[in-house]
Amino acid sequence: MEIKEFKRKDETLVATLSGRMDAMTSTGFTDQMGVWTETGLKSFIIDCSALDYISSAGLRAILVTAKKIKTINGSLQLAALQENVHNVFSISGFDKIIPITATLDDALNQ
Amino acid sequence: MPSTNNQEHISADHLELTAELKSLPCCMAFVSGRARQLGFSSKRIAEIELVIEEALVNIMDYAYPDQSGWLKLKLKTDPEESLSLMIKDQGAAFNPLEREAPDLEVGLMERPVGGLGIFLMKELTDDIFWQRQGDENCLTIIFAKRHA
Repeated sequence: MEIKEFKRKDETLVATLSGRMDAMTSTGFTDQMGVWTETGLKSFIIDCSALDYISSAGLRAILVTAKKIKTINGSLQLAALQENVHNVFSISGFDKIIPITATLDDALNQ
Repeated sequence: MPSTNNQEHISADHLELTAELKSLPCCMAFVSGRARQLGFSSKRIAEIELVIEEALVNIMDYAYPDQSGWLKLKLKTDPEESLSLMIKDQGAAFNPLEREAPDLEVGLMERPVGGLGIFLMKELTDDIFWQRQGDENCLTIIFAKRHA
């Protein structure tokens, strides 16, 4: 799994998340998001088009991060989930608690 | 004899490894490789890998709190083209399937952290059951080619 800054749009940081988000890797997501929020950033769009796999450990990392961002009145938006990742989000009901857009452009244009 | 060191025992249908996170990729490759041979779709293989991770992480987290231990995987195929996986450990008796399903209807801040792994396992398998056999936990998981 890799998460890195792609660009900034106004106050929003757009990051790309790629690879496999599992029990071995998902703390990398929590850690990097923590580093960014500590610099004062509050608004995030995560491009998930290259995220190939997510397990409950990955969902946990996203949930913990989304709660933290909510407490600072920020926003976390996920974009362009692959079908199997979207499937895991749907089964877990995460599509109801985390904003998801079909494409990165949809997220950027909101 | 079961091994508790890092030595791996691999045969066509059996795999025995130490119950630790670094064994996970090997276990996944073992099961998904066989599923691929049987012609399972890449979508179904992704689901199988997820179930394997959830089942094994659960064992790694709970079975051996104070010492290292092993886990054993055994694969079987049946005429109806399903894949049956048996996972054994020698930890204290623990049936993960008894864990209550998380409430999926509550909002973000009310959502408890955790509990999704076992829920996902149940959702993505075609049959799953747990037995205590002697001093071993034995979890049997059935994957049909097309999950209903």
